[in-house]
Amino acid sequence: MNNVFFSKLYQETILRYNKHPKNFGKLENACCFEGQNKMCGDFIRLFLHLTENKIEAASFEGEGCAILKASASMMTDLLKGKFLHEIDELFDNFKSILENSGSYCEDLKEANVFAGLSHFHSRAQCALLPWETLINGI
Amino acid sequence: MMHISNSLRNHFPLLKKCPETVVYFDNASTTLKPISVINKMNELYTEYPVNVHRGAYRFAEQATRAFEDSRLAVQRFINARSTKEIVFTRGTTDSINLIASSYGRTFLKPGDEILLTQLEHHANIVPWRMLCDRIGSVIKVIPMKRDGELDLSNIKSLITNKTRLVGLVYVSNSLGTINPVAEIIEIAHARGAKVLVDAAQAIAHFPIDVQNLDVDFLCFSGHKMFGPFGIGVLYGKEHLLEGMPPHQGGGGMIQNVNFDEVSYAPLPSKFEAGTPPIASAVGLGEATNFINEIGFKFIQERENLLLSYTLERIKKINGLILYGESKERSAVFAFNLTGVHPHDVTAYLDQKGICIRSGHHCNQPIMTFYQIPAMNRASMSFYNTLEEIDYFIETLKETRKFFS
Repeated sequence: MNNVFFSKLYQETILRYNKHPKNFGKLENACCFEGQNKMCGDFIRLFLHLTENKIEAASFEGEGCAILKASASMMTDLLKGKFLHEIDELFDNFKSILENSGSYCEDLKEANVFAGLSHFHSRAQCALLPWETLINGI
Repeated sequence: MMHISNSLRNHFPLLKKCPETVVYFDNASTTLKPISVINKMNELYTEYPVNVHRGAYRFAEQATRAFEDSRLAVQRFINARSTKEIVFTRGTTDSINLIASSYGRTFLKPGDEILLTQLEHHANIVPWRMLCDRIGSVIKVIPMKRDGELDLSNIKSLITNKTRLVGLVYVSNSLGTINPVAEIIEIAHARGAKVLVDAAQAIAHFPIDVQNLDVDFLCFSGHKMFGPFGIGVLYGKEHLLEGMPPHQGGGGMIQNVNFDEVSYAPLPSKFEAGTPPIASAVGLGEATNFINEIGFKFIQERENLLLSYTLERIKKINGLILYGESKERSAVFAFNLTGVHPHDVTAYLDQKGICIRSGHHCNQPIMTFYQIPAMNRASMSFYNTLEEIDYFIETLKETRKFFS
């Protein structure tokens, strides 16, 4: 039981994205990557518009819990304007804040809300799914 | 109204330690362990912490006696004819795998049929799929109905003269359906098929008499009946176990060994290679004593009350979909809240001290049937209370509001 975790994580940000996910929907003529978590049935499809090695636009669709939708919303926001070679570092930063509650990484902006989530192993998988789908795809 | 006394809940250290803040509704996954079981294992580890069998000193005698007394307790608990019919395994999964690899590889031929049901846990599907891929036998399936009961309308045509084995779950771990096991065993036997019953979800909830059921193989786990993790039982009719080759080789399961030839130990040692989980086995024996002391009469009355009390209230929650409404059922409730992902439901309940589970519950064929990826499951035991159910129902209503 962890009330601090629950209220901070859910109430401030996650619930908002659960109701109104950002960058939700299909992008036409885009690269498309799919990922799923077979254990819980979560599913995500990621769309990227690329020019040369730069991500011009990103969106997602799929089915999953509030954490998955929030993580995918935030990630697709972060991706806009990034170069592909910058993604690995961003992902490493994301994994690192997951592991340390109280940690912060400026580049991750709102996604810092997931700091320390890896203490909740099953929920960390939900936050990671969009990122892993991205890394496996590119 | 039957009242559950605190002294009964005080048998369980977790409930005693946090009486107000823990509502444990994940009993289908594992039941809590009473202090008597924990103490019994502690006794073994502190007073005679040595290996069983063949030790000619008093501690080894004590450990062996405790270990074999436990086998005797299990034999009596399910009314088996002899302790030769009680094989200690790691759990239900291990027991089923033993049958699939020993009985299956010996007696099943290409084209032979294994009949399962759509309600099976993955533990009673995967070992058979692996066997079929290896030897070319075929799996057929008894379908389920919307209410979570088996559709037995075509049972007589599903059990053919090629059916060698029927694998059947006694109580569904996600829907709570209690299957008409005796009836299916009779039909199977009339066609010459053997029957394996997965009793993992039954063993702690009502008495099972293997002779009365005339079941060929019965599998269950210690940790779902107030016993320790890592111990389970395979019951098999003596003549069937006699005819089966060992599935594993090693110490303890032999009579004579040389490099050219090995002869095997008599039952049940033949199927217990290596040092057994002695403390867990002794704990399991103590768990049967615990159940006997509480009594199945009390357990059943109590759980039926919890069942009807919950059903009446859970169905009234707006936006709640209940899966499985079998007439014969146990106090297991599978559900979804419209618009709230099961992960979010369990996370919200956890934060209120309520322990339930979400996911596919190792029942993907059931998820496929209802066309859902996952569901929530609350499962109860006799030590749960009506107050806990009231709190659970109110919290579910709150959950829906929170996420809407």
